[in-house]
Amino acid sequence: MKQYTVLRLAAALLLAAITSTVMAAQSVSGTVYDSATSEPLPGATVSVKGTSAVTATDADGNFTLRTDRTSGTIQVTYIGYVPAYKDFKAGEHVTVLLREDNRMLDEVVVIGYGVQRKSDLTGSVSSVDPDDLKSIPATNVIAAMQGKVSGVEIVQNSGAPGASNSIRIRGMGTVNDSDPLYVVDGIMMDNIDHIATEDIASIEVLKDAASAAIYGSRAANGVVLLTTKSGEKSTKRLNISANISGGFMSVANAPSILPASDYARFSDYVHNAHEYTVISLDGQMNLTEAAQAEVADGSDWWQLATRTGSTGKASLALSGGDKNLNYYVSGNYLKTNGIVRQSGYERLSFNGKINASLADCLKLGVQAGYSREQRDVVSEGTRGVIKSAITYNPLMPIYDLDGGYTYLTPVENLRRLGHSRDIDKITGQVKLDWTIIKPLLFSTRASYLTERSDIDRMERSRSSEEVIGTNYFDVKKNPVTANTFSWDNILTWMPELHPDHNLTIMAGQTMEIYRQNSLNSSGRGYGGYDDEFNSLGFAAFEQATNSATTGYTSLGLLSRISYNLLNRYLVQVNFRADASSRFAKKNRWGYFPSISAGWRLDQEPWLRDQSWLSMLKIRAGWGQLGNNRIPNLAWLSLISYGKENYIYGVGTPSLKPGYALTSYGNPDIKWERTESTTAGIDFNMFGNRFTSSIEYFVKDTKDMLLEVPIVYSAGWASTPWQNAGSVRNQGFEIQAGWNDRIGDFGYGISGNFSHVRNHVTSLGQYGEPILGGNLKSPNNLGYVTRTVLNAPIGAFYGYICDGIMQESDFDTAGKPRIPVKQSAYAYNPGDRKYVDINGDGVIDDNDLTTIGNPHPDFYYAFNLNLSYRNFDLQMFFQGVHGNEIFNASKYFLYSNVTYNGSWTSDYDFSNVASDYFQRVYRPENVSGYRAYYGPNPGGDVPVPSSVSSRSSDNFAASDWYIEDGSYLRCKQIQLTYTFPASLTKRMRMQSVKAYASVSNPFTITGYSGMDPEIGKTVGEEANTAIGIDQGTYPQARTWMFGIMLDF
Amino acid sequence: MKIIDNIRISALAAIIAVSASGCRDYFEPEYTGYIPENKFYDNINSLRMGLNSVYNVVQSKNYEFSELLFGLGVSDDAWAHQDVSSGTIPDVLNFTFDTQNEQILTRYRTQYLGINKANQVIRNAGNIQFKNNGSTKKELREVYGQAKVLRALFYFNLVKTFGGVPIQPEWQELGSLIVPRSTVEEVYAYIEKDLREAVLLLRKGRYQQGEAGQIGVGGGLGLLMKVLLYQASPGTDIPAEVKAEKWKEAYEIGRYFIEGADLSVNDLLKFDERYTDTKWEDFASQMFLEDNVSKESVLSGSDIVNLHKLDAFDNIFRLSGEFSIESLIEINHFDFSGLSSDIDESWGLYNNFIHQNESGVSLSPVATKDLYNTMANDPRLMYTITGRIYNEYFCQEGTISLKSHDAAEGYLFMKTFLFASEGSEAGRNYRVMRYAEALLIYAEILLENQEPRRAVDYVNMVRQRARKLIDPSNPNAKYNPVKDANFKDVSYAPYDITREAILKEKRIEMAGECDRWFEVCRLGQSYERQQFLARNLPTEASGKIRQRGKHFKKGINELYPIPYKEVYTSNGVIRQNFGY
Amino acid sequence: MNIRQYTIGIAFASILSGCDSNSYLEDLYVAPEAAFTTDKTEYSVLETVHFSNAGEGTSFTVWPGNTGHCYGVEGDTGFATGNDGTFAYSYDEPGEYEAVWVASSIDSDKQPVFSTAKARISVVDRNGGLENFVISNLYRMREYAGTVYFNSTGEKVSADTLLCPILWDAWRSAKVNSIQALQLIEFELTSSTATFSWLDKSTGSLRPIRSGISTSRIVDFMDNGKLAVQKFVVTTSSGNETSYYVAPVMIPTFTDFKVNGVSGTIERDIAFYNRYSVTVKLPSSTDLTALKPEFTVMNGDAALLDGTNVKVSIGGQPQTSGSSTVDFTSGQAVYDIEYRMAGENNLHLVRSTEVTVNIVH
Repeated sequence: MKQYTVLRLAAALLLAAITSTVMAAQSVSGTVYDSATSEPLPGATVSVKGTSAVTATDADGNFTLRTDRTSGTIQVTYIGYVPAYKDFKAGEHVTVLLREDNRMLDEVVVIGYGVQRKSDLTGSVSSVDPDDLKSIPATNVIAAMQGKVSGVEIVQNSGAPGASNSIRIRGMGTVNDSDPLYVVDGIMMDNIDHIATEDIASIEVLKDAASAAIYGSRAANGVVLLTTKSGEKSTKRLNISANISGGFMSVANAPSILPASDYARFSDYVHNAHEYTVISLDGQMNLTEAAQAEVADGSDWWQLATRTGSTGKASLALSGGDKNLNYYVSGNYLKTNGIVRQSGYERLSFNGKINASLADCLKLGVQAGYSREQRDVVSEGTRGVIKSAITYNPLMPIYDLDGGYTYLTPVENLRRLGHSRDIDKITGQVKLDWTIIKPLLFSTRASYLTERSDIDRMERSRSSEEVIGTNYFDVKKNPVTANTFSWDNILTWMPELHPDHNLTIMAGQTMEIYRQNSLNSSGRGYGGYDDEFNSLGFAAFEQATNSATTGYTSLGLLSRISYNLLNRYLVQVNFRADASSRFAKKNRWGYFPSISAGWRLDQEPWLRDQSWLSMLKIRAGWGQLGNNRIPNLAWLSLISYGKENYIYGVGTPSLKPGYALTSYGNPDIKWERTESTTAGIDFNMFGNRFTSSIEYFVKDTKDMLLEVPIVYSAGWASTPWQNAGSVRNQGFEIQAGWNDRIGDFGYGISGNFSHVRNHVTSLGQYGEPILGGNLKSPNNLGYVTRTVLNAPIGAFYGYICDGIMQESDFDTAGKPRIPVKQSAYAYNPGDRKYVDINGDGVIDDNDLTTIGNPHPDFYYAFNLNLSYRNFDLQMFFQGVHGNEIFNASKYFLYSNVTYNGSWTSDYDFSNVASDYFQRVYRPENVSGYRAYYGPNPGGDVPVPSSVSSRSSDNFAASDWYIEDGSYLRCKQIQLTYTFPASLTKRMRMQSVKAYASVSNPFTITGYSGMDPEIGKTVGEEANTAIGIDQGTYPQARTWMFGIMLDF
Repeated sequence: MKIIDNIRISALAAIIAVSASGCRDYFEPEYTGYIPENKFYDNINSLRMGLNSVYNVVQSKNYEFSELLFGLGVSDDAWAHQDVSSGTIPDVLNFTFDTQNEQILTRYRTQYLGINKANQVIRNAGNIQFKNNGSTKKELREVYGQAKVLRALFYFNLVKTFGGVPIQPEWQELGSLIVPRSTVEEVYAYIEKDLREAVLLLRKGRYQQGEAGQIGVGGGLGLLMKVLLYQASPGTDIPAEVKAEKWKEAYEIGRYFIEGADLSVNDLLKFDERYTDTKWEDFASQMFLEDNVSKESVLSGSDIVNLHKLDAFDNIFRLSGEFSIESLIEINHFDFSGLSSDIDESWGLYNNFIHQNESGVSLSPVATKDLYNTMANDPRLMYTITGRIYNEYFCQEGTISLKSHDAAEGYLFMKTFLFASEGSEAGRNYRVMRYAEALLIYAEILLENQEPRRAVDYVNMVRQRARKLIDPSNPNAKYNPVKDANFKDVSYAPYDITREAILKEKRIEMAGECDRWFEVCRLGQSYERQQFLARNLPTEASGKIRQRGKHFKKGINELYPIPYKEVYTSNGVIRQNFGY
Repeated sequence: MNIRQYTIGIAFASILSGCDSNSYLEDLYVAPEAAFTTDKTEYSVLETVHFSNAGEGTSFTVWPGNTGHCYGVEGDTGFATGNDGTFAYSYDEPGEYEAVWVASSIDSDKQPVFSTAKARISVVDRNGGLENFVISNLYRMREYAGTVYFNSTGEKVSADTLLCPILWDAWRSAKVNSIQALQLIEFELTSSTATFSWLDKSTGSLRPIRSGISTSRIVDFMDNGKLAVQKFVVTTSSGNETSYYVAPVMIPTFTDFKVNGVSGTIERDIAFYNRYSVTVKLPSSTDLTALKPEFTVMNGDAALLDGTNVKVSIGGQPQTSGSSTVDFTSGQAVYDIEYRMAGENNLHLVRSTEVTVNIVH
């Protein structure tokens, strides 16, 4: 019932604007000029505001208008210009300057396999202006797009340069892979990290089934259409544009942990005895000399793990051409050194595009691109560098007594886990557009994409070279080459019927062949201190190698009919039939229809002349999409080598291999099917100075792939996928913007606001919950997410806390009066109390329940830009509200566990949060060292204990770890100065701009961790494990300075 | 103008048609690293590789540990540290488990994993091409036969642990995996059919040297006799008239295997009676039999009777006793760890017998006082149970001291002991069945067929072998404290006294070989023996009181529950045992 | 200008406050309403009670109401049901129990909400089965070294009657090791909580006995000098009684066998209780074709024989001592002795023995 209140509000606003008063007649005359070229504008429509009087300007731009008004305002509108208003007094000559409207309503928007006028759109397609992205320091396009489009929730999984992002278009559609499909110049891809933002001409996001259905079996999670720049619109033979920028990155928010001296006090606190400290006569407590010496040669691990990062970007693009031939050639280079040492990302890419018209009916386009990405990865998560930098014992030195590296410190971790991943991509495409007869256009496009990636890891021994020992090292290599050939033929027919009727019929066929082969080998060698050892030649012991090739082929037949009557009534119908080798013969073909309709109310006669109303369109759409992201051979039962050997003979027997079915397929497997219905209103006012659209959507995914449990008596070694589950995402999006100029001062505010409610509507016949987010050692919390019926995907799972056991919870004999976990050790005040939710008098696995929801209630962003003469100030804010984070770091930050997960060690505790002493429980009659801090019965942190089973119970997964993850972040503030045209003209340049920007200057959040933006756990990216903070690589604050030259 | 347009349109239509036509094999891209079943099973050698994966299941730690836990751990022959700790293993030992117990699930699941792999070999044997000469067909028969024996072994483990269980069809479909439970009688009939056919297929000889590790006809016949014995025994839920019939059938098989009497193929298979809907020619071709074999052909007992004999008791458990003439079914293990390769073919119960593991998640059984006393004055005691200190015999290669894990006066089972010179204990073979057990089974069969004298003769044959341990000519006799005067032969006696003597002899001969619980269950004495155990429990050194035998519920705990998840996932098609 | 900004501001504010963060918990909350069914209301000891859910809630627990599991008693615990809402439990002791079913769910501010339902379950022990019955250590068998006793194991000949075969050597008056002495009984009852007692005809009272315990050596199978069927009663802990009848039946044998005045030596086959052999040494000149052996069965003891309950035959032909002629030309003849005892409701309890007579010279 909450959504309806919003709709009622918008309708009230609309009615108030329509009722306006009427005035008497007189005559007024004037001329209309184009403000840019100051030439008169023939054919502009002129009307008096609030009356029905209207006329058009003559060839010299003059007009006379009969009106009974003595004074008022006249409105002048002309296609492609911003409507102008001028007050007049009877008899005066009025001159009106019309400024060209760069946000032309009739601009053309790229939709699947074709283009369409923005005003004719009936599906929900959002565009992103590539210019906004250029100056954002993100390493890839998707990260730069964050917050720019309503309904598209983008979360950076980690701040590491080159890290992956999780993208959810209108909610998380499935527990499996819910990333959208990327189509770059018609080539379908799953990853676009290799594309530089400078090369992008347009980005469109197809959010609902009506617009995405044309991509049928791969569009269930939405489609992102990218087109790269081409020389088509260039007017001069040679345009050169360069964009050079550089900057440095610093840590936005350092962790609040104890310094070495307070850590010593904490160590005493755990032992509850004065070892590092002594109480002097005046009651003050300070460190002993020995303690101070130890503090002196301790280390500040956070400083040792982090540094000031740097980033630099350079791109050069040459484009030009004339009517018959145009070209676009560009080179881009980007290098980022992350704020964590040794983390970095480098990308070099070249693109070339040539379009030539061979004859007036035949146009040829050739395109080629090469990109090389090289990423130095640092380990993240529970054994990562950040976690050890926060929690490692600050009293430990970098080198141990033998001169080797102290094990598991951040410094040793970085040195040991050298891990680089590089990817080369080559794309080529040939496009032929043939206008057979005027209304009939045939275009065929063949493209080839090959990608070679290699992960190269070397783990060196940590002990020093001067010490005797058989130090070994491990090497891992994982080269993967994949190539995709796709070829589509599209026939578009635009018959010229009666001018009121505008019909476009498109039919086509697409095909795609994908092949991948991968090699995975690892080995262990001895010695290995130098990089030269990083070869399987040296790492010749315990070698294990595996290789496999796989692939899929697909064929699609697509068709679309769009019809526009009187520019007011719009209908579009898509139909696609798709087949893929991923399905057995009987399920091979999938059929994906969609239909959408729109009504342009502002073109209706009774509204046409409301001058303030620029656009009012109501549209609705329904459609079905597929998601075929399943393993290539999921429908086949297959045998592979599973080490099921046997030995024959006496003495040293001979080993004979054993083979049996290792993976069981499901011949009935078919697409995960998504059905979405959308209703939306586009509503622009005041000459498009105010633009807005509101959309309500329901997206149901059926036949979601699940591993439905099978009986053990089948004896199957693996559980096949079955189409069994279903998920519903429901919500609304609001996008609004207002920009205006007052003289030289221009200002604009735009924003988007999206609310999505995700919940699972079925988990198959048994409703078997899906456990996720398995936190193994060293923090042993087990599965912390459980997806159950009627709950959101990946909801957090654990006990409900009931505070800390007080004296009153025990009877006189010291036996707990409250339900407790079965344990061999006695309970006493200071241990954690859990709620017995099923009322069976004991705390056990049946008391685990849903305790948190990682999905935000709503996410929003808004953009403020001010311009005054040549200065442009742009501020961009982005935020989420209502999501919760599972802060797994608290397992270390509020306990006496060691870095490596042991509770029983009586030294080497992990470091704790700075507010530890205020939050840990102390009974009224606290004694020993802890008495110094006085009683703290209200503390929510259990008493430190070296009994490992008791401590792991006290710190079991519960809603003590759940924190509100809402935040509002200032993403970027940027100041751009455009050098005056007069200066640039003299240097024969089109424009010169210089800009300075700061990203992530400040964040407003209640979250206690370093960075509230927590996506999927790096390394185990799964939809059922989001929002878990195990020491995530934080996002940096970046200061950028750049210059953009156009010749 | 018009004509040119038409030409252009028709050219375009042609292009689309071509691209759509070639799509039949277009949708089968090649791949490597995996192979579908029908392509894999098209040659003779793949059948052997399939069989290896079945042996691998019997070699696995899951299989061997569940035999230790359910065969010996629960029985009245064993105490363990784990009796007093908490967790899934102690719950099984103390009969305080619930239907979601993980050990019971592993027992159930491991057998079915094995059955599935055996079915893969059996169902594909028919469609592989092979050169139709003698030796290839012989290999085909032997592999096919061994797969059947192993399938029978897995179903036998299931029926004696859970009662009637689902019998899975050889070819399975995802939609019809849920099969209701068959009765105990039907499962035993299925096992018997596999074993009778296997006896026809298995090699009439022992696998030695390079071929050791496989199951020959001796293993098939030994297991068949044991299966017939279990069906006829009082504790098995089978109608009385069928039991009487089984004693006769067991006698028929015993005379062929132990005494060397001839046996016709028809009598072996009960072909006329049980294969009413199959013609002999079809059966013979399906079993890859030679053309000269007919229903009436006679299997001569003389080929079989000398295959297996009793070996020296102080040799069969030594390294030199591996694949000895006494071994009917023996699984090959070897410790490759020395060669720094990651191949793991080692024996899984390395630290469950002699190297005591006191953690709650493992099991280290020691002999009960009752078993120790039962073996008093028996020459085999020294080789079976340690007693308070190691016998001199075991200290020949250097003194070894008994760790203080004397679990409440319990003593270590010694049959798994290896001298240092015999190599790594982790390479010790797993003895599944010995000829001595077959002899004692035959003794009970003779008694039930009104031949008490000949029954006692076979018991004394086993005791005669044991007496050799204290024969002056035996170099190890000097270590053996037992006096010849105190170790007499069993004298002839009426039925009940002879039966008691046979069962006592089996308990002594097979002590510590993971069969006692099922032996007690087939005799219907589980409640009685658990009560006896409950009355004679020692307290653990730590003072914790043992509960073994106290929670055994008569009429319920003789069979273990079907795992909860299996009943739940089958939507009630697979019903739970009585009392759970 | 400011009106427009104002309206946009309101829109934002209302939306912001409208959604609180725990709305997902509302979807999961099921107002608990406890209701459950059991397949019966009366069960016997150890029989499984199947509880199944019939109400609403997210999770359910059962408090069976026996010791340690009483709802509301501090320190007691209940049992969680499976996730299909069913639970199986068996009571060890007979009695009346109040089983409590608790349904619970978590509301949107993470507090558990409970609802309970009760039902009475009565557990009764009616299982009066008798599994086996042995008269133990009846007679010390001299044929074996060490002490080997003959135990007479009861065979079920009808639903309530067992036959205990008695070896002839065990029939002699002696304080111990004879059927005429007081006997030690080993038995096993189906229910582990039932008791077993013997009807002592002399006092007419049921005297409880315990299996294999020497203090229970009270059973006397002799009724005024004659072996008689004895009545035993199994009483379950909830009082109902099942009676059983044990008939001690002698395994008959010749105690004397003469041919032409020469007594034969009688020996029992070591491997059978009911096979004997008689060897009679006759001069080689004796005509073996029509001898008339004289024999007495079990010393003609009046306590055992009433003239009608013994039948001696060869190959089905009845033989009477001293009068029937037997052709011994083969040197051997096989006698069959059948001894009968009358049981309850005219049941005939029969034991027979095979005697092989050899004539040697």
